[in-house]
Amino acid sequence: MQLRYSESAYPIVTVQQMRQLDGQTAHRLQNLGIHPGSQLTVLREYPFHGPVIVEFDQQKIGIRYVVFQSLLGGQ
Amino acid sequence: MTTVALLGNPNTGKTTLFNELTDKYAYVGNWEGVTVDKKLGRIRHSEMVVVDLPGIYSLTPITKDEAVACNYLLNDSPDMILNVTNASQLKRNMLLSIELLEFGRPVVLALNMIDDLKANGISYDFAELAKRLGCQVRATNARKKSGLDQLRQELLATPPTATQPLHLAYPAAVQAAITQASQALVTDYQLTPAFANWLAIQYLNRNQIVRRYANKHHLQPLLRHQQAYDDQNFEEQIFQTRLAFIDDTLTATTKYLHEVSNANLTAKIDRIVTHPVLGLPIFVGIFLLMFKLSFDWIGTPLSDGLDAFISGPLSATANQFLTSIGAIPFLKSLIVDGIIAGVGGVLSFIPQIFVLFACISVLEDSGYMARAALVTDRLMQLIGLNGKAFIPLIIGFGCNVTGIMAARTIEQPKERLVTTLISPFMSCSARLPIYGLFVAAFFQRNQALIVLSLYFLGIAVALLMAKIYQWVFKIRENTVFIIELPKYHVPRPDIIAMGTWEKGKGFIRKAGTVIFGGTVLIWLLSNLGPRGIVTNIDQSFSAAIGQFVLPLFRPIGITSWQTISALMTGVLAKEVISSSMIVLFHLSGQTGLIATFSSLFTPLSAYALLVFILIYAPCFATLAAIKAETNSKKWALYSVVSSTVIAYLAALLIYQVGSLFI
Amino acid sequence: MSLFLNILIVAIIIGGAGVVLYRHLKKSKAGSCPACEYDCAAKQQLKKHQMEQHHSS
Repeated sequence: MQLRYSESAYPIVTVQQMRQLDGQTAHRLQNLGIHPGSQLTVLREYPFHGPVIVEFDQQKIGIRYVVFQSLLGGQ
Repeated sequence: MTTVALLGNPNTGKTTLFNELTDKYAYVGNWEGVTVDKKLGRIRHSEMVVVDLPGIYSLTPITKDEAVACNYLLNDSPDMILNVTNASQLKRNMLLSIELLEFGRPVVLALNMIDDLKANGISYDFAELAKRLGCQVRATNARKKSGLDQLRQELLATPPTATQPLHLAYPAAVQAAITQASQALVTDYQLTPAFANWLAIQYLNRNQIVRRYANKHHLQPLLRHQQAYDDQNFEEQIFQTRLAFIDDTLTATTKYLHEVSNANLTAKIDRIVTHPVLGLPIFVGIFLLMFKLSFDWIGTPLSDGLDAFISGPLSATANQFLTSIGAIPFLKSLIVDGIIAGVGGVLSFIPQIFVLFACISVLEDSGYMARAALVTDRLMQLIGLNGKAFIPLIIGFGCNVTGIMAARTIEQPKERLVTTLISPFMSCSARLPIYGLFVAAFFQRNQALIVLSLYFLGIAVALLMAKIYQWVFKIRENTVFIIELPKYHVPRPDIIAMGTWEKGKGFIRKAGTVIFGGTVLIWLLSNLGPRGIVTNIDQSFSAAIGQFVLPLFRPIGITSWQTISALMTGVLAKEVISSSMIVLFHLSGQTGLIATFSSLFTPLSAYALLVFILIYAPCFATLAAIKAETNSKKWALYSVVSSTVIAYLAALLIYQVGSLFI
Repeated sequence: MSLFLNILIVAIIIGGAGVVLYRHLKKSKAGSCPACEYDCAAKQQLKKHQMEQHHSS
């Protein structure tokens, strides 16, 4: 269940895959409960490919842009 | 004696709970990784011992401190487990809970921060949850001290006997492997069935610590099949089974109370403080506010009062008393001009330091630090620093040694070395008295701003050096940066008070040890010369030493040998610079330190000096820490030389360029 | 106050300063945790633990 914000204007993305990540990052994200198929609400993306704040399972985490992109299956 | 192991995810309020349940106070912060080693405490009015272990996400460790928890289960075998979870993030907390329930000891599951869950409009069917998991379930809120008595009763009443471990329905192949291995372990190695079962699951799950344990004890039933286990990707299958179990359990036990009211405080605050544009200015603003409080609004007025008392009535009374009992001038000067003026002078900065520590404690307890790490991450990434380096650097503001110790959480040796080497550039609290002394004399109006600029200059130098080291050591960019943003807490006064005292008492203790010793040393050097006791300080040892290197320092605006001698004592501890300077100028016969300063320094040269003090050679304790952590004297020596050179260049630049304009 | 007493007090102060400085440097030299002035909770526990082990052995 996601927290609903008043605007609920935040985009929701689905984790496609975690294979491109290095072992440690993948392990850590898995521990936090992220796995292929997880729904992430993107609360904030910093400009110039800065970190991204995502929310899932009522918790918020910050990750770097590269990690975020590879979760979505991009480069 | 019964032992309870306290286990749970990072930042679930474990340490707060530990403090509330036991007689022992432990350091609390609202960020990950506060507990780096295990702590012990006894539950009040009982013989039950609680062991607080570092927060972990699973028993499969990736950092050193996470390994502490797994090793503890393997080797110390606690009688009971208290699993603390964040009630509103039960889904991911349960990944660890399952591993603990499989261990086969009685588990009490504490759903902590239960109020947050209620605010989200959710509740759990505790009875059903307890039935499905086979353990006791208790709702608590450690910060508000609710549910703790029941939890304590529950712990004391639970019989510390082995219980039936939780059995998940793993896929047939996995289950067959577990059963086969654990039966062999029970018959061939005399392990208990529960432990053998748990060991087999962990082994299949590629737990490195358990695999090492199996190697050490030659557990053939497991070692034989390692290749087969890994080829069939049992790890993934185990994970999927657990995930499915958690989903089932939570779906069956969750009760939705009402629709969520959107206006939650954390989201509101975060919308502002993590703003892409405003985030950084707010971070700087919060620091400025901290210095305003400690240097302008609260700290300085109190410090001035304390200083007036020490240099006025206290000093005069001591002088009269010593004269009346017939003390010789030598003794009188040692006590009045040396100890009271020097040590007392440093002690008069206690209010400023404590106010600053209180502010830092508030930031730590509120949960803002994680946001600060986030908004500065872009910068860190630009430099190529590991995101994890932020916390050791911030801790370095308290004491560089602690900062260097905290760098242990960084796994890669080269990145750890870089963080260790740049730590001394962070302006530690020992440097505050000397800042205080000079900003009061030269920058009356802008005290907070000047101190802020020094702190940020320290950060800038640290980052610049990091960039250079990255380049020299050829470290490729690392993207590991995952930071949890916890819910904000309203800071609790007792936690703030304890945190402030924990940080501040080191300073008071130093007044009785190294500051006292350093002050007596400099007094002695100023009263003794090549020909014995001197009456004119200009013929003393300290003058001779100071004057010898003085020409080197003229280009950065230092014109008095007293300053040089004081700088040298800073290697003992940075606070000693201020006490030495007070003693030296005091003995030189000048009346009023501020009047003396204004004849020797201009605001520009005073600032250049502060910059030099910020950056130059680390104190002895920090050097020893560098040596211990890098295992080499060379790095410690390198640190002395490099930082002094950088300090000189920075001060030179500021003084020379500044002179052109002022 | 006699000269002897004066000199004695001076000697005690200077000697005391020497001892604390020596101790500080020796403690710092151990590096890592011992070098740090902050008596954090982890350190207190460590000390207690060492003491208990010392007693039991």
